[in-house]
Amino acid sequence: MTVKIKFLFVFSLLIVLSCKKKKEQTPNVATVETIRIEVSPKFGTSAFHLDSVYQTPEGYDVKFTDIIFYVTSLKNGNSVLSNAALFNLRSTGNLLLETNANHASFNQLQGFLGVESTLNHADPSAFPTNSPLNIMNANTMHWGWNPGYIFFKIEAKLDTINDGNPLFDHQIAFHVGTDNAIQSLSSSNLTWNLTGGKYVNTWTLDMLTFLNDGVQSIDLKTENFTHSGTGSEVLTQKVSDLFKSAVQMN
Amino acid sequence: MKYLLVIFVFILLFLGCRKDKVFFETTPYALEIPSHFPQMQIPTENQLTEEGVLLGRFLFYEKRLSGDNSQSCASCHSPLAAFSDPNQYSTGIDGIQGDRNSMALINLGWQTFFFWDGREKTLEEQILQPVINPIEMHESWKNAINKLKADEKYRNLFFRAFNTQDFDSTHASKAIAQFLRTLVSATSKYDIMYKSIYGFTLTPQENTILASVTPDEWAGYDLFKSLNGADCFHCHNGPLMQINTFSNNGLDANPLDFGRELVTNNPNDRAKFKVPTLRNIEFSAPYMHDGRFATLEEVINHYSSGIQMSATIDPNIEYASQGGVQLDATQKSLLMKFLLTLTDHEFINNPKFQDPN
Repeated sequence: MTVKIKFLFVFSLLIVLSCKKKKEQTPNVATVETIRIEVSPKFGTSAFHLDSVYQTPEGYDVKFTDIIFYVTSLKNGNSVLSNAALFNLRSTGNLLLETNANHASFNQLQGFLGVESTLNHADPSAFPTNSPLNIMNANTMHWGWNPGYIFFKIEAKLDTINDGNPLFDHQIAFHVGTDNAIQSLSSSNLTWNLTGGKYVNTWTLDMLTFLNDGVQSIDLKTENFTHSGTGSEVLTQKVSDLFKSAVQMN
Repeated sequence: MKYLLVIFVFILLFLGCRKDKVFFETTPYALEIPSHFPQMQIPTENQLTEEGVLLGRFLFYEKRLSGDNSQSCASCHSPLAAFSDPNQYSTGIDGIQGDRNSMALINLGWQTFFFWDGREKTLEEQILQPVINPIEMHESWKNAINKLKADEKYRNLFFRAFNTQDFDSTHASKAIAQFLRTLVSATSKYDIMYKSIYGFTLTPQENTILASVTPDEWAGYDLFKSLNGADCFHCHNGPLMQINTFSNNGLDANPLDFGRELVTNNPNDRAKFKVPTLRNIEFSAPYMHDGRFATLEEVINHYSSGIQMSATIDPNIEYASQGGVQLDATQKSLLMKFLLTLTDHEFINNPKFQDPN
């Protein structure tokens, strides 16, 4: 009997020990920061929204319907923050990019407004599936091998007759691309604010500055269309310069 | 203690006598993604298997999915017509016609929405619709599944594909979706031209095809992607020969079919329709969402001089206000020659895509 009791005791002990949950070891992981760049659109001193009506410096009513642009090769010296980011106000709101990085390494940034040449003519199917340059993500922002990507796309509708009838029958389409239209970006004193556990840097996009930056201006009634092709080089360059003026890294 | 021993022996006997459950191990389907294509995003819950694709192929050609057992998916998506319908409108089992042309089923694994108005976001959801549509196959899925369950062949096919005897419409749609994702077209003359432009290493056979591309075909391609030429490439480019978006391509000044607006209720989407691929366009006539153009010549004439302005006209159509890109007869001929390079005979005639019965 004693032997049986001892046997039962040992057997029970083995079962209990085998069922005991192993204590999980806490991995020694370095803290990873999430940093995020947002673009805050405005129209002069007013808040900006797609499909809302604003007045151009020439007095016409305009409704912007799409603002999409690429930023590529964002880095501080040799530290790369992002190879490519795609801003699409209608589909992704204010977000330009969000990634894991140490914000202190990016108090300065250089990059391009548009797609730099080495990326612009690469096979668009070969980029990783999560890259904004992959053809499935680029979608309407890719033309083909020779012109490459559309660097930025601004579409709007204009009402040129102030008669109270909101006709908005003039189409505005600025589709700017090709290597000559690339613009450089840089800032030497970026501000990162810790918000909701993320370090956020906010750029501004002033669509009033896009229409008139003090140096040059676009009259949307007469200058309303470019696909960056032959014959529209001057307007393409002007639109490209004005868009660069409108985008401000902070 | 003795009782414990007896109980223990009984448990052992019970476990030892339990019947083994029959279980079929599915075989992953090795879908070859063409080198110049982006990766296909396949839903994790419906990965391709040999068994699933085979079942889907049978179901695609299965007429018992329709109310009177007279129509299958293939009735309106014929392989010989690039998996579309050569009729302007398809006619359902009750003799009622729809009001849109059947879309060609090509490279569906890269699409992000389905139907001309994009009302379904996944292939699996799209597949469920034609069976129950009263002007198409007009059958309830319950009846359709019951007919399949009465057939031993299907009981085995479903069991091998999904390890269940209690299959339903979701299993059927998953299987058809698997089959449709294998319908990859990537072996046209255009593919060789595209790969050569992007610097892909070509096989000797591909180099032979490249050498056969005529100067007129290259000139047609130049026109196709020229801003001051035919200007087609805004909506039709890349290996898929399409972009995933909706467009009003200037068919009507006062459109009767509101297209995408019927889904979104947004007037800015009026008369916008899914941009289709141009692959195998030689075989997918008639053209446009309503099949109004019987020939490619009519399509080219539309973009050349037939564009109608309306509030939602696609801003990519640069010369819309002039009625189109104004091609002359020579340019139209060159453009036609390029469009025919998009024909993929290997795809059209692929035995794996044909009726298995």
